[in-house]
Amino acid sequence: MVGRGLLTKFIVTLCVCLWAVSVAAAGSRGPIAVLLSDDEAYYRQPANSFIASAPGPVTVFNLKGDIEQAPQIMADILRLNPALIFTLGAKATYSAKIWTKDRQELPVLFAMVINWQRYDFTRNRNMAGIAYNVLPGTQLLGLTIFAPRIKKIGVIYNAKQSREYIAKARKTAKILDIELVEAEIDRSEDFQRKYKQLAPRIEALWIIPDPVTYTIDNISWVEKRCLQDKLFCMGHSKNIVISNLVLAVDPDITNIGSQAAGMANDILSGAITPRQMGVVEPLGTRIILNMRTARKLGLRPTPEALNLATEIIP
Amino acid sequence: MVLLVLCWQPPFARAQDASGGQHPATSESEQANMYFYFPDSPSVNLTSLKKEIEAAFANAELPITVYPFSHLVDLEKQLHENVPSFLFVPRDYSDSYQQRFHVKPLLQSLRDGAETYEKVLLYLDTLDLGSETLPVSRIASTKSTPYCEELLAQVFREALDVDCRSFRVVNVPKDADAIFALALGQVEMALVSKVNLALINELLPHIEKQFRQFPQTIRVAMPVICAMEGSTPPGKIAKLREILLQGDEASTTKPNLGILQINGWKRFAD
Repeated sequence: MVGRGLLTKFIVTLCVCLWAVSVAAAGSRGPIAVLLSDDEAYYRQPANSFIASAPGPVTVFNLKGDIEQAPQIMADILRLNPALIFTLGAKATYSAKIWTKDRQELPVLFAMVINWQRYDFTRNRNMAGIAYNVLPGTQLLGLTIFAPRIKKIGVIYNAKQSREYIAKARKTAKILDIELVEAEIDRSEDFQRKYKQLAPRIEALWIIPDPVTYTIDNISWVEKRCLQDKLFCMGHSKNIVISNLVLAVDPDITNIGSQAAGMANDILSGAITPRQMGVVEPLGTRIILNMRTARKLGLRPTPEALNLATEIIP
Repeated sequence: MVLLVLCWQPPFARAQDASGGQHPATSESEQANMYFYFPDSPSVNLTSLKKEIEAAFANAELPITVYPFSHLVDLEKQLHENVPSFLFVPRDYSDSYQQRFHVKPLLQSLRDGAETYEKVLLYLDTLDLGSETLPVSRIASTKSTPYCEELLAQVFREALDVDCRSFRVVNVPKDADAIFALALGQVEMALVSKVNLALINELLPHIEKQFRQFPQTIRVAMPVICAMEGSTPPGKIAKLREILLQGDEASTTKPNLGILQINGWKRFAD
């Protein structure tokens, strides 16, 4: 009888201890913090889809475009002891990078940062992210859908900025049996001269997200030249299609949020570390076609191809 | 300095009541509206879809304003805020929405007489399926519901006799994204509709060589049209049933939803 009493006490004590440990473990990790750089729809859309799929409760913070708010806001975030910080935009991500420098056990996942490489985010082992631009191969797939006969595509780029991007592009070009006609430049000012050399040898021009080539002046100039030279010009942003370029493949920013939620789940479940994850490209895309320009170039996309366009500018 | 902190819950976490907290839907005299979400649609151009579906119903004398959605999160946010007259969604979503949004399935769409369509599971050509443990695989799919995961688990058991827990479904907005992601090595597998795969292979014949297909296929239910309980006017329900169920497919007054490859309807029991 005495033995049974002791055994019962032992079992009860063990259960209480296990319960306390589980409560402590659960309580040691706070919510996921979402930090927006600003209030624009551009950030809100992926934030909403992230929250809808997030692997846990979420608390949202907003720099409202003011980097000087960062110390206070980051202090508030860290006080929550968040499980992970999801940042949208360069200001938010940069703030998180600085403020978690000495807290490398706190994962930071970023998205919506144009040219993320220039900020050197992945030097911190706690940071991973989704690049803003789709894979170069995805853009080539978009071109092939609407202009399957085009086989010679010119691309002007700066080797230092875009070496890796072009290397990836070559792989897909090989699969699609496309010839990439490459032209390197060192300065933005050389773009127009290179274009004039390239144009007679190619059937299409591909404008890639290279900070040396992709400038306001170069784009304004090439938009007119593409029509004049009857060249199929495509790029990575809807903005250039709205003017005169015929095609763009850009990321589906709402899907970036749900993609990030999946990645957050992988990190928080211990399946992968941020360092192992690195920076990946968005999976969702938008294909935008300017039909006005397409008609001027004599393009006649099939109904099946048109059904794959996310947006057609009439 | 203003500190702005929002404690934010996903919209669909808010409490639901039958139709309360939401705007009342259409009366008999107002034009009906329809929220449309079908990520496996052969056409992803929402503007074209809206135009064609509206024209089809207008031709049948049931004018409907169609609001197409390409993302589930946007559809569900709208369902919380504004009750439509009708909802066009995949069948498995309508099943889960019966409790959450008080929808009532009215009509099951058919494709060549079938209530289901086929999805195929593709895998990277370089993936070693013969290894003892399947590497953790990301499967791109337009769905990530538990229903989808069960179907995938079944395929793995039948095809590979492996533990199905080592995969993760990665959501994409449309089948084209799943196929692109697979062809470019961003994911190891993709679950896509057979019809959409055929369409894309025709447009991009070169990428077929990048992946293979499991022989097993998955059948998923065709989408359904639902009414909103307590909100959709009975007259509109009756009219919808009338125009979609009566007459043959060749009839010029029957809505032609060929853009969705839908050519028949079946009524759900009341």
